[in-house]
Amino acid sequence: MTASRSWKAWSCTVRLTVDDPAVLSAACGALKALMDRVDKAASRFRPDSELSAINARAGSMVPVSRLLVDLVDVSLVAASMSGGAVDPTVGGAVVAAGYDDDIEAVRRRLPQATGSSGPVPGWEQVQLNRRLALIGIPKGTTLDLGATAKAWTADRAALVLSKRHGCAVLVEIGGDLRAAGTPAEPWVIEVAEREGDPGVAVTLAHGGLTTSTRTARRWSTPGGFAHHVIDPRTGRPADGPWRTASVWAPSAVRANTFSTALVATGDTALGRLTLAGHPARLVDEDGEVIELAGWPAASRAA
Amino acid sequence: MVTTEAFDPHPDRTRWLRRSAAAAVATAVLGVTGTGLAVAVLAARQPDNSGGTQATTGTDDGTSSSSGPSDSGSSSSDNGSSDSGSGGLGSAQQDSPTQGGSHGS
Repeated sequence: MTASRSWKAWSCTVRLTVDDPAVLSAACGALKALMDRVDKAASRFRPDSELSAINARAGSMVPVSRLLVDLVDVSLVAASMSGGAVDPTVGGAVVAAGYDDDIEAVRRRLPQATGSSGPVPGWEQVQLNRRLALIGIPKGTTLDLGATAKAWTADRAALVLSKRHGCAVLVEIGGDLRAAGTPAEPWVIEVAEREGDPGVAVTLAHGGLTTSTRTARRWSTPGGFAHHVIDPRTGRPADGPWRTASVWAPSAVRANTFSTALVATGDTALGRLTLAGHPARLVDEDGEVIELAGWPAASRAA
Repeated sequence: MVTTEAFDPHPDRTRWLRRSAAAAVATAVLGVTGTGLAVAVLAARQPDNSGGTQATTGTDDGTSSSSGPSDSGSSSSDNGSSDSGSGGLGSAQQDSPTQGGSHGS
């Protein structure tokens, strides 16, 4: 028997499902506490976050918590794994595109002119001293961990809660989903471009399943809609062939790295996905779907 | 009386050369042995984790470039199953209610 609870946070839906109803409340409390810690460490919308301190003090090494060291470390792993397609130094480009506040606030205001910061500074410029917990970025660089922080949190929460309570756990934060533990039956998951859209159903026994899209977190500009997935090569919202990508991988961070890279850089990321062999479902600009590397062909409309 | 002095006009230099050669050989032996031991220790301590990205073997002894960061630096990343195929994904039954969702956001 499973039990589930969902709520809104980080401008998306968070859902926690466990196969032991007795632990649901405690598990939800732990997940909320972890998300609060991550928010205080890595939110670029909070002036009191550690990330804001790093961005404000660009050009010097800044002491940070171990949590933020882990989050930046993961973002650099994602950048390395994706060949720079998922780059934490896109902060300036995201702001230039108009995404400089909570997404609901950005959507509410009148369309504003956007600019282009050019190619992003590059993740290789980030200085990370794990032993001393110091992080530094060059002047003119702005970090944004939005691409990996949710997936990291889903991974972390699912693994910790599954081990702590001895049950199967499913953590969903926006499009990033992680299953841990051994459920009696695989979880049945709906995959869709946006919440409420028609989707397909698959089963998930373990690992991470993420969906990245440029159709959901977007806002109006004088030149049309802009979105939050930045192509690091141009510093502008991506306009590649895939508007949405869903990927399965052993962890949510890994899955998210590939799904984000596919939307951000298109065919360039496809080669890396092929080498990795992770199942993927791609939706192109016209809505045509391509399923790769063992994505369940018998999935049905959910 | 038999002596070698007649055949070695520079005994001090010869002695120095011999000692230098012996020191060089000893240094080389110690270096090779030390390197072998280090490799053996590292190989024994390195877990066989083929699922994650590879960690660098460089030491983090100061401010360092971020290239090639360790995937194991985060305690939560990629420490689940390590299969790279579709092992975690399958086809859903027609009548199964969904228990979660991966929706783009």
